[in-house]
Amino acid sequence: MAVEGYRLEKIDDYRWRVPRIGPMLTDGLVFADAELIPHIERDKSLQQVANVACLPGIQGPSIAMPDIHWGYGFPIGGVAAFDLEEGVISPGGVGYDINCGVRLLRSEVTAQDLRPHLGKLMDLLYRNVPSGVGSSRSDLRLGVKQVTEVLLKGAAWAVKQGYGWAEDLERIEAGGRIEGAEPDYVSQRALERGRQQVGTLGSGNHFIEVGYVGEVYDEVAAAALGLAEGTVTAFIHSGSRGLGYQVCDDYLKTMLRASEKYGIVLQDRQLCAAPLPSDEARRYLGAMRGAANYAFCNRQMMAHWVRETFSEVLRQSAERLGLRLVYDVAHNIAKIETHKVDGREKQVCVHRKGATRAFPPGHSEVPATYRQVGQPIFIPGDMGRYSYVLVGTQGAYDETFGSTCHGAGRMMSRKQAKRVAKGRAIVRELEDRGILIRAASRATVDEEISEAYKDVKNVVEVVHHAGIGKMVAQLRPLGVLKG
Amino acid sequence: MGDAGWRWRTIEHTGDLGIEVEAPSLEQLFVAGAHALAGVLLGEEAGAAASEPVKATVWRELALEGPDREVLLVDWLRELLYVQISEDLVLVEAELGEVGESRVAGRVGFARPSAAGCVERELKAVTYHELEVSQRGEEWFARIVFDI
Repeated sequence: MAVEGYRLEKIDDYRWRVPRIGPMLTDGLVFADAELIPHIERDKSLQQVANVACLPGIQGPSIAMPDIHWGYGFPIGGVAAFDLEEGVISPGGVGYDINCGVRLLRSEVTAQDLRPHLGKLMDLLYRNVPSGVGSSRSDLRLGVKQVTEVLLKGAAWAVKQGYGWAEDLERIEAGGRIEGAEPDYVSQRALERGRQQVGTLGSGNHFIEVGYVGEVYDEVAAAALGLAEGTVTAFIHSGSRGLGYQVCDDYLKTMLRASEKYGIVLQDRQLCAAPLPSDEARRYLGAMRGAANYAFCNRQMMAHWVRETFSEVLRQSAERLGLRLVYDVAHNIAKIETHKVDGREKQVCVHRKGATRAFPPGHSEVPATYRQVGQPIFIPGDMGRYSYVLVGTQGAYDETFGSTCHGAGRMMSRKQAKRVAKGRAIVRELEDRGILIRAASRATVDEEISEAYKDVKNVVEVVHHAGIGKMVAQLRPLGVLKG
Repeated sequence: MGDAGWRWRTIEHTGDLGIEVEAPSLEQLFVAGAHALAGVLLGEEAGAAASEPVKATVWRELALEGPDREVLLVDWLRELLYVQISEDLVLVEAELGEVGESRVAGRVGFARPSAAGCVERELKAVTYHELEVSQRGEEWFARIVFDI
C-alpha cells in the first residue's frame, strides 16, 4: 500500500521536506517555490516521493525536482541513491525510455540568416529523421550482431560508421559509452526491436527543435559552451526507443519476482527492485547500460542527419556552419557514482528518472573543455516558449547526488490537453508566432500544447536559486519537429 | 450490461495514460482490456462491446501464466502490445477459454490497423502502477496505466 498521511513542510524559499513517517526510511526533499507547490500537490507525485523513501538502502533523502509530476512508481523528476550493499536497483526508477536525454548542437548561423530557409529546413528535417508512432528506418536495418555492437560501443559505433565527428564523443556524458554493458542480458525481443529504430525520433514528447540563443545570463560559461546571442541551435530529445522499453519491461517481470524472493516490501508494484549485490541486479545493470549506449548512438545518428540537413539547405558544410556538439546528457538512468554521504565519500547507485546529471566545475567526468564552468545541462521547455542551458554546480553535487531538473514538467494530462486544444489550430497559432511545427500526428501536437506544461522559467529559476544548477542562456524556438 | 457488455474509458493521469474497464465477468474483463488497449492505440478515448466487430484476419493461440490475476492482466496486454509493435496487428476479437487467478488461455484474432482505424499513439509499455483488478458487486473492474 502507498504511504498515506504524508505532510509537506517548508524548509526555505526553494526547499520543502516530506517528513519521514510510517514505512519511510528517510525524508523526502522537494525543490520548489511557493508558486510551483500547488501544481505539484494536484496529483500523486508527492506520495510517490514518499513511496520511494521506503525502498531499502536509500541514502540521503528521496529527492524531487521542481518539474516533478506523477509518473508510474517513481515520480518523474525524482532522484534516489542507494547503498551498493544494502540498497536496491529498480527499473521503475530509470523508466521505460532508458537514457532518454537531450543533446544540443550550436552553430555560427544567425537566426536572422536562417529565417528565410526555415520552412525548407523543417521540411527536410521531417523527411530525413524518421519520427512518429513506431518510426523506423527502411534504409537502415541492423543485424542482431550490429545491434550488439551498438549496445557495447554506443555513440562511438555511429562515429565509426561515419555518423558524426570524433570530437563529438568527448562531449557526451560518459563519452557516449557506459562501461559494463552486457548484451547477453538483453532479450531477443529487445534486440529485434532495436534493429530498425536506431536513428529515429519516436513520438510523444520527443522532438528536434531548431532555435536560437535568445538571452545570455553567464557570458563566461556561454562562451565556453560556444553559445552566442542570436545564433542558431538544435536540440535533439529522444532515447533508446523500443529496445529500451523492452529491456525495462523484461526486467520489471524479473524484479517483481526478485522483490518477493528478497522480501522487499513494495508501496507500488512498479517500484519492484532487487538488492544491488544480487544476480538480478547485475543482469539488469548490464542490459540497462546496453540500452543507454543504444540511446547515445541513436542521438548521435540523428545529430548527423541534422548536420546534413542544415548543410543541404544552407549550402555549406556542417564544419563551416560551426555545427558542433555542445553536449549530450541523459535524464533517465541509473549509475554507480561516488558521492559524499554523511560526510564520507562512497559509491552509490543514483537513479535519475526525469532528472539530469549536474556535475560541478573541476569534476573529472566533466569534459576538459568545460571543466572550468561545469557540466552543461539542457532543460527544454514546451514547444511554444523557451528552453534553458545551465551548468552543474557544487551545490548539486553536495545536495542532490549531482542532479538537477530535466524539463518543464507536465501540468495537464494528455486527455485534458486535448480538450484545451479542441477546436484550435495549434500549428497555425504557433506559426503566427514565428514557430514552424512539423509533426507526424496532430494528436501529438494537441497533447503537447504549451499550456500542458509548467512554465520552464519557473522551474529553472528554482534550481538556480537553490544552487543545484546555474543559468547560462535561454534558447527560443524557431521550428519544432514532433513525433 | 449484457453478457458481453463490457466498456472502457481513459482516465486522467498527468504523465501517462490510464484506462478503467468494467465487465460482467473476469473473462470479459480480459477481453475488454484487450479491446481497450487496441482502442487507445487507435486514438480512441472510450469504447464498448460492439454488435458487429471488425473481423479478424489472423488468429493466434495464446496461453500465459502469472502469480495473480493483476500481473496476469498486465502480461496479457504486454503480449498483445508486442504483437502490435512487432507485426503491426491490432486485436479485434478474443475467445478466451480459460481465465483464472493464474492462467489465461484462448484464441486471439488480429487485423491490420487499417481495418479498424489508424495507429495514432505509441505506447511504451503496460505498467504495474495503480494496477487494480477487483470484483465490485456483480461487475469486474480493472485499472491499468500505460506509459506513453
